[in-house]
Formats: sequence, structure tokens, C-alpha cells
Amino acid sequence: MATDTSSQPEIPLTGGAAPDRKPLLRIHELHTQFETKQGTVRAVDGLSLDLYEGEVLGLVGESGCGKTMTALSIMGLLPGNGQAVAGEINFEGKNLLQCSGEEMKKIRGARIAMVFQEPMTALTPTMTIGRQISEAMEIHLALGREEARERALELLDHVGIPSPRARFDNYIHQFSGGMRQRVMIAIAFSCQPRLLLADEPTTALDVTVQAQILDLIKHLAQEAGMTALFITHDMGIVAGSCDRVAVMYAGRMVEIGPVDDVLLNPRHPYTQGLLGSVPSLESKPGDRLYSISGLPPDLVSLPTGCKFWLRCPLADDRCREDEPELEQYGQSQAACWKVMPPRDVAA
Amino acid sequence: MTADAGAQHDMFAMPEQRSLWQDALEQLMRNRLAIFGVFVAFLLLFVSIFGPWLSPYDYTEQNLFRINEGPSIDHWLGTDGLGRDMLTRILHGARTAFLVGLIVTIGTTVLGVVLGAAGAFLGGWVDALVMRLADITMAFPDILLAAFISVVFREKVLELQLHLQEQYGWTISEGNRVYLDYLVIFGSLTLVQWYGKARLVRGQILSLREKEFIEAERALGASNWTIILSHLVPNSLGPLIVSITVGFGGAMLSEASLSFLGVGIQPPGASWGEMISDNLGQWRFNPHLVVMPGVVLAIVVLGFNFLGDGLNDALNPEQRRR
Repeated sequence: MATDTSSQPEIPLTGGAAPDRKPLLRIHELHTQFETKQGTVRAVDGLSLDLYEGEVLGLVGESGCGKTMTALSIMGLLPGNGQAVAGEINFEGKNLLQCSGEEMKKIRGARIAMVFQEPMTALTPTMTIGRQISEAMEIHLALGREEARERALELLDHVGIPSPRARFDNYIHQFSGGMRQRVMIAIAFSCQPRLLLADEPTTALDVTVQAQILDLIKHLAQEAGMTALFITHDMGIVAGSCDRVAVMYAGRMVEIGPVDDVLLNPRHPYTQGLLGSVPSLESKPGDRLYSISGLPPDLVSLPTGCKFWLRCPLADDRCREDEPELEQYGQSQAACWKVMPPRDVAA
Repeated sequence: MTADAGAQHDMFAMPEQRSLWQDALEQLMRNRLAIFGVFVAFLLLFVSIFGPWLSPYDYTEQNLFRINEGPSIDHWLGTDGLGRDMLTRILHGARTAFLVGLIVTIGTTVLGVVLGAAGAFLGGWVDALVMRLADITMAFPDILLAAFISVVFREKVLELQLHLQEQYGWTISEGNRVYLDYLVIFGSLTLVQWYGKARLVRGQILSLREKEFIEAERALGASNWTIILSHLVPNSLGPLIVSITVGFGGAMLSEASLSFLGVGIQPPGASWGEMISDNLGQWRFNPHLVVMPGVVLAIVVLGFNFLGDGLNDALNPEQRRR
């Protein structure tokens, strides 16, 4: 379904998406903040992002840069002291930030589903997995117990659980890590949502299983024409599974573009640093792995100017005072005063 | 082939959908010690209801010609120092034990769940008040505090009863005076034993509330009631049920201790603790008078503890043998 965009301000920069696609989710100037004793934590600080129908977008960045809080803002599930104080999140003609609790309940699980990082803790230990899969369908699709059960068995089969009938009444602890994540994926896809938010879906898994799970999610999403937002810090996932990638730093977007372009020609020094810190097959034994010096800024008292200047090797006076906006460079956009021909980085 | 192996390997089996409770029951039935506990619990229930009709004697009936006797055809478990039939008194003691276990458990559970849940959900000063009350109660040895409360409480109950008698002419027959003792015991033990369940319930709610599966459930669009009924309650009920079962035995043991010390059930009322205390003087000459109520008490408390352990295993799917 196309979003009614006539009422919103036009966002000029869309980050290299195919022009014929329509945005499914439009985040405009989102500010999510937490009130703490130390002060106001600005977890998401003016993020604008469009997600186009059918695409897989990777959202990358260090821990604490606001990736997960962006997802929780979309779901309306921010922890108690957190609030999306400004901005808009438009989805299927509604601003999710203004939806009532009841409206959000109808959207969650049915229109937007979420896959969590650690299935062992994200699934109820005292309920059989069959019941947990059926539950969402009973809530949203108003299926009876028997129908939901049949659908759940189909889903289990579809996500690659062997002998689903026998496994239906098992508890989550009786599954291996990869199988647990398959169960969670079955739950997420059960109501055929339009948008899938996957928050580090493979971080808890073995490397060999990661690829299977990513392929599964990608395959299922393509099959259903679903849009997916992958939150990750793993550039390998981005390279292998995403169409576009958005890089976040200190609650802001610093670079966005098609995966190939961003990975091969990173414009922002932060993106370059992230890519440079990925171990490469070409590095020699004994080489030190590149790391970005310093720590992410304190989100309570953000620096003026570019949020990255404290750690940036290229920073000058302008970077310390003026905050750069996203500008178009080739197919991508980056927010940096110092965009220059890309260094030779291992990608 | 066991049920477990079947679930793993038989691809074509169509297992019926089972709930946590059905699974738990099946698991419990496989545990011999727990079966013993169930048996003891049902036996206690039966005896406490029908006990007085099972014996030809009254529990206060004295026969001073036949005191301190050993087991015989007339008196299967012998007679005590006043010639009362031991078996009859033990059967009557079962009623006391069961009533104390039941009512004190209900009392502590209601008080504990309400206070613990209130503390966890409301937080702030309510939580602080409940937890400080629990700390204070905990700071005293249970039996000492219960004895103290029951002494104070008994006076109040007697005053109230006297007041009712004067005001409305409500009298209480000598044989029913034991129910006043019950009231005192229920009250004092409930006031002493509530904090364990309050702390348990509070801790359960606080820890479950932060669990990711609750958040995942919200992300699925489940309503608060679904979350509470299908996820919070089953995950927190297990420990509570175990605590209730073990507390049942604990309450009976506390009652026996109080009665043994002379501040619980008063003679001629029958309680196992009171019988031990009553016959303690006979210990050297007729040890069975002390041993028998003691053994019965031990078996019953043990039974409830076994049942509690069995329930603990059965209600926790993660601890099951695969």
C-alpha cells in the first residue's frame, strides 16, 4: 500500500533507491530521548529514513548509536523512560507516533513484525513453540485454535523445522540455536506483515548458521514482497543480504546508499573506519586490525558540529562548529564536510 | 518406547496439543517421591474429614484404669497418661494439622501475593513499606515471634469471645473451645509466614517484567491480559505453587512447635505437637507415646516437601530430563 505522502514535507534525499519504488515507511526527523538522572539522553537525534517497498535495508553502527531505539520507536515499544519527542514515522498512511495503544496493538505483529536477537530469551519458556506461533494468528487473523494450529504447522515446515508435527509441542529449550531463530522467524512471518524489523537476528548464532538464517529471512521476505530493516553491526551481513545500507552515528544518519556503492566507496570517515576495522583475507599475519580511536560521544552532552569530529582524523574547525547535512555524492549520500576520494579500504 | 523418544523420532505421530499443566502432571506422576507426597496429602485430607468417625472413642474420653498402655486390640496405638486413645487423638491431630496447613497457607498466599504484587507494580513508597515490613518480620526468629503474637492474640480473642457472650449471649461449648485456639494459631502463623511469598511474588514480577519474551509478546501486538494470563502467570506460578506446597508442611510444623511449647493448641485439644509435649514425661517408660505423634508429623511434613520438590521439577520445563 502506498503511503499518502502529500501531507508531509518532501524529503529530497532518498539515498539511491530505485525511483519507481514507493516508500513503505518514512521516518522524518525522529528524535527519541530518555530522561535519566544524568540528563536527557538523545538516543535518536533527528533521523530521517525512507524504506521502500520490497527492499532490504541494513542499519549499521556501533553499540549505542540508536539502531535498536529506532526500531523500538517504530514499534512504539520504547522502555518506560524513553519517548519519541519529535518527528514522524509514517506507515500505511498513519503517523505511528500518534497512534493510540489500541491502534498500535493492531499494527504490531500484524503489519510490522520483529525478530529479536536472542530467541532463547525472546520466547516464553513455559509455552510450547506451537502455541506461541498460533498465538499471534489467533490474535490478529482471528483464526480458531485448529486453523491456527494447521497454519503454524505449515509455517514450521516452511521455515525448515524438520518433522514439525513432532516438534510442535516442544519447548524452546529443546531446540538448537538456529532452530530457535527459525521458530522466531515463523512467528514474525505468521501474520504476513508488510515490514519486518530484524534486530541483530544472527548475532547469537554460529557463523555457519548465520548464513542459513539470513538466506531464510531474505527468501521469505522476497517471497512475500515484504520490506525488511536489518539492524546489525556486521558488515558481512550487509554485504550479503541488503540492498541499501544506512550508517548511524550518535543517533544520526551519516551515510546511506546502495550497498555496493557504500562498501566500495565509503564517503564518510566513520564508514571508512567501520569498513577498515573488518578483518580482511588480504591482511598479513601480525598486522594490527584498524580501530577507530576514542569512544562514541556521551549522548547526554553531544559535541557541537559534526558528532564524529572527536574521533575523526580529518576534522578541522568547520567540523567542530557546523553540523554537516546529508549531501548527494554519486549514488549515495553522506553527512560530512570532508568527503574526498575514498581511501583504499578492505571491503 | 517412551513418550520422549516418540516425540523426537516419530515423524508421523500427531501429538495432541498439550498445555504446561498436562505436561507437568505427567511429569509429576513419574516421580515416585512426589506420588508418595500426593498420597500423604490425600490421606491427610481424608483423615481430617472422616477421622472422628473412624474411631470408637472420643478424643477427650478418659479411662483412668487404662493409662500409659502399649498397643493392644482395644487401643491400637495404646493410651496416654489420662487413658485417652492415642490413635483417636492422632486422627484428631490430623484435622488440626490439615486446618492449620490449609488456612495458614491460604492466608499467607493471599497476603503475600497481594502485598508482593502491590509492591512490584506500584513501586515507590508502597514497595518500600512492604519490603521493610518483610525485613522486620524476618529479623525475628519465626517461632519466637509467633509465640509472642499468639500469647497477645489469645487474650484478645478471649476478651472478644467474652464480650460476644455478654452482649449477644453467644456461648461456646467446652468441646469447641479448641476452635479459639485454631483462630489464634492461624492468625499468628499467617502474620509470621507471609513475607516469604510476598518476596517471591515481587521478585518474580520484577524479573519477568524485564524479560525479552514479554517485550517480544508486545511486539506481536498481544494485549496486556494475554501477556499476564499466558506469559506472566505460567512463568511465575511454578515457584509460587512450590512455595505453597512446602509452606503447607512448614505451617504444620510451626503449629506443632507452638503447641509443643504450650502456646498453641491447648489441652484437651488434640495436636501432634501438643501430644508430644503432653507425653514428654513418659518418655523414659513409654517412648511410643512421644514417638508416634512425632513420626506421623515427620511423615506428613516429608510428604509435602517431596510433593513440593516434585512440583518444582514438573513445573519447570527447562529442568526436565530430556
